[in-house]
Amino acid sequence: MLDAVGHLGRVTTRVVANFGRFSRFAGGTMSWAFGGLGQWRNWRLIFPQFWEVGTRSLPVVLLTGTFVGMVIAVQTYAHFFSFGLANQLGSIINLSVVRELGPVLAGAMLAGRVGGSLTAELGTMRITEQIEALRSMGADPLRVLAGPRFLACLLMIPFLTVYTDLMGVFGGYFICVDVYGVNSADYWRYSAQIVETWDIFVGLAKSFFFGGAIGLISCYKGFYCGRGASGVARACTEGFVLNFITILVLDFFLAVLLGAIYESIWGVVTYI
Amino acid sequence: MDANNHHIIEFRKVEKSFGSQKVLDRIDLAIERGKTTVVIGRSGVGKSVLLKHIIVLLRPDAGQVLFDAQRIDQLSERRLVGVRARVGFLFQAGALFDSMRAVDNVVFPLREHLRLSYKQARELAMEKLALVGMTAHAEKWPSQLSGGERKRVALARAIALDPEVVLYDEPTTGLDPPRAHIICELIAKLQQALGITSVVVTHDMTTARKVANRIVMLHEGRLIADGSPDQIATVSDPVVASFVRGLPQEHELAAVTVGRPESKPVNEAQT
Repeated sequence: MLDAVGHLGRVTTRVVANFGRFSRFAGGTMSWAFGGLGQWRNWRLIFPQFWEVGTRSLPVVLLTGTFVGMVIAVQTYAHFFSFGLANQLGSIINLSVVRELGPVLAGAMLAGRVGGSLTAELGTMRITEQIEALRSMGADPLRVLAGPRFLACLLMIPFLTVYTDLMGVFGGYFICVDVYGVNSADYWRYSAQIVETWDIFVGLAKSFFFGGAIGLISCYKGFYCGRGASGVARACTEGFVLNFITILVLDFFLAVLLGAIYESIWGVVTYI
Repeated sequence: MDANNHHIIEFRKVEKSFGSQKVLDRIDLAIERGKTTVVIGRSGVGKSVLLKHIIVLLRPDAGQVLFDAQRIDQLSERRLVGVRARVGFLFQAGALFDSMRAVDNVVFPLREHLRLSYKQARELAMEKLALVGMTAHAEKWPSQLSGGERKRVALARAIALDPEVVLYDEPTTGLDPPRAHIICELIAKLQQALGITSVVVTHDMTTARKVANRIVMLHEGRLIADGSPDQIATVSDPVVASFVRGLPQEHELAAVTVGRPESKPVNEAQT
């Protein structure tokens, strides 16, 4: 019994200590990221990360978006057709893509591609003493490494989500109109009736938070990874799992929060 | 020259533990300005830990670290920038940034601390690379360099800001004898030509004899020997003598030759 209590105490202490360390890391990173935007020497570090996180992730999110749209179309066509509502498919497909599936699945893909890459890169830098080398030169690793990567995730992932949404819309259109023969004009008309600017905003707002979470968690895991190749591998795995769980948890709470905001402005409940 | 000015780095009763293992146990050490001090000791004894305390990459659990008569172990990371800009650090494996070419590794500290255009910083970096004989490799990536070449580029990076002190963490480990000799020559050249204070951590006595003005030995958290290379060579303490001559003590040898559990002789002295 005493052993169990002792174990629980140790675990609790470790969890609280790790959370405290993460909070300090996140605070320091955000402080450098936003506070350093006025200095050109920081932009020199940020632009390459925009390329790495943004441009190089485009193929992955384009593919993800296309298949998300096509899969929803295939899954929903039979049901809508049986009710004689096939012409209205555009509404449900595009609403699902821009509001929920586009941001979440793009976030999940980017947690793997971008998050994994960030954790592995920073973890390797840690175990090969490159992070200590930075400190020894009087350069703060949070400013040089974590800040630019966090900013790139925060700003690029919403852009990538726009591309995911776009390809999801086209993917759904292609299956419905070109494969199942749904009327093109009806498809767009029903989409325009149902999908509001607010829905697009909700999806992009979520992706902004997903991007920030991916940047912070992935950099943190890399900065504090264990020794050796196994330490980096463990950090990458833990980073991805934590990123994905965080995306799902954030998705839920943001849905509730944004729904409440919508209700307070327009007086209609729109929880999805 | 008063004592404070004579010593650029000072450790006062410095203690450091990792878990239950005490790595530094009330260390008192003063490093003389303009000289090369070599810290010797067995692998894993805490030499690198000692070295990292000099620029507060690690903070002591107790005691004080002084740089140029100013206490630095309690300074924040931001306030340490000024101290760190005056010190170069050569890491054991070089710690070059993988994502930058050799020359850009040297450019990095220059542009961090000085208001220079890339072109100006690159010219300075090429001068530093010339000092270590690496201009021909300036455009190579770290992965394209051999171990010795990486250390030379890392040395160029360490001296990029014309530091007053250069810290060398196992500078010749993993190098073949000719390349190790080149690194030793570079350390000696920098000290003589530029008057740089050097602190070298090594377990290689050949390196220590080549570069040292003074040798101190770290063993089980304490400094057990301190003197010139000639003085160290004549120390009678069995631990020091065994290390300096490169011969294991009898009980250590017995542990591997007849499989007897390793135990220390009761008269193993620590001075």
